[in-house]
Amino acid sequence: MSARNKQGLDQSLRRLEELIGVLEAHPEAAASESARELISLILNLHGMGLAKLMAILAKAEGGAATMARLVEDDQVRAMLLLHGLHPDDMETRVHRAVDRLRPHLGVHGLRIEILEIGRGVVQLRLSASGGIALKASTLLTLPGEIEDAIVEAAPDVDKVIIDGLDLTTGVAAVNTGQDGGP
Amino acid sequence: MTVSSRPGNWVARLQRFARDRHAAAEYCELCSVPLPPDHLHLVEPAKRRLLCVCRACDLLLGDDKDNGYRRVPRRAEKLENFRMTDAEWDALGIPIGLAFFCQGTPGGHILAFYPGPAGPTESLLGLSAWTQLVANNPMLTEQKPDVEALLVNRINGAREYYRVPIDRCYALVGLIRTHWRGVSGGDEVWKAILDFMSDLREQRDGTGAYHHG
Repeated sequence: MSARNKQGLDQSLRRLEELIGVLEAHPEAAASESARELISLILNLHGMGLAKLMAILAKAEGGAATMARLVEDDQVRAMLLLHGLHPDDMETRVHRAVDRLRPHLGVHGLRIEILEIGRGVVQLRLSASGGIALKASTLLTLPGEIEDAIVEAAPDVDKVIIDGLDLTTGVAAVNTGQDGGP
Repeated sequence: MTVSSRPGNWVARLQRFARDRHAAAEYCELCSVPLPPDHLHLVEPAKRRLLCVCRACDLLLGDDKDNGYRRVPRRAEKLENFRMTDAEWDALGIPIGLAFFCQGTPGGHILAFYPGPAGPTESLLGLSAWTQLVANNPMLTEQKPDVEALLVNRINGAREYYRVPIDRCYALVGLIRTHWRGVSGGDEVWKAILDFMSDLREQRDGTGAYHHG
């Protein structure tokens, strides 16, 4: 997929989020109710069709390989995620995203672990693995970066909670690694 | 919220919107007509319940007749000449510089609410402490039980006192519940609280800033 296509997709998804916000805050209940029903009908129509398509594909010869290729395409991936038809479940996708974050956080002397994934909420904990002091600017941007990485892989997550980063005091971590390791 | 150029949890939001019929629109809890975001509220003191109501139900039931409901006023008022020393505040034993106090009618107890790690914390205020406060600040006698509260803000050296409608206190509670992270609350919750206070200062009614239920 070309960079331009990806940009276009990101743009429409951001717009989609904005519009949901507008509809949620719409003063006329009747208008927003119709919009809700319309969206719900279209989602159902597409969801049912796509589910059947995926079922047929899964049974076909070489279906698994085709599915794997399809998931690599950003647009197809987005569509499967929306309808809950992505072959990897939310938990698997979150674990993968966290694993991808580890080296980047390691550079800052931080460890990340998953405390819980359940009912759309992902709870993570950061802790310091060494005595490395974090720059204030890093502290400020880090939660946003982590959240971005998680919802990129799992836009079906409701909320990302990050424990162990105290932004109010600027203290990087609860545990400053006084265990006398090497 | 961080300003991100990348899409967020769009799947969760779209699915929730499509699924949840009651998420956006609210309905009158007495007669079920749809309500605009800036609707009125009644308190049912016996059940300690806040109800979203339409104009018709408010007109019918919100007047001060004794029918079990009380109308929540809309205006907040800054109490300019409020007197409270740091020692008097400390004596109330509230661990944080933000709290509201409301008198509930069955019983007449003064309830104090303040934010904490386990969500909003409620505690019963000693009657003598309240009596002392009222003696120093006679305007507190005008505060209507159940529907109005005294909001005290002493965060970061502020010394602000407001007489506020109780629904705004509930909105503050909701705000704290949504944004509180970890033990200290985190950046987001304090930003939300500061925004709430500045809305109050500028007499914005906070419509859109709070949705409950």
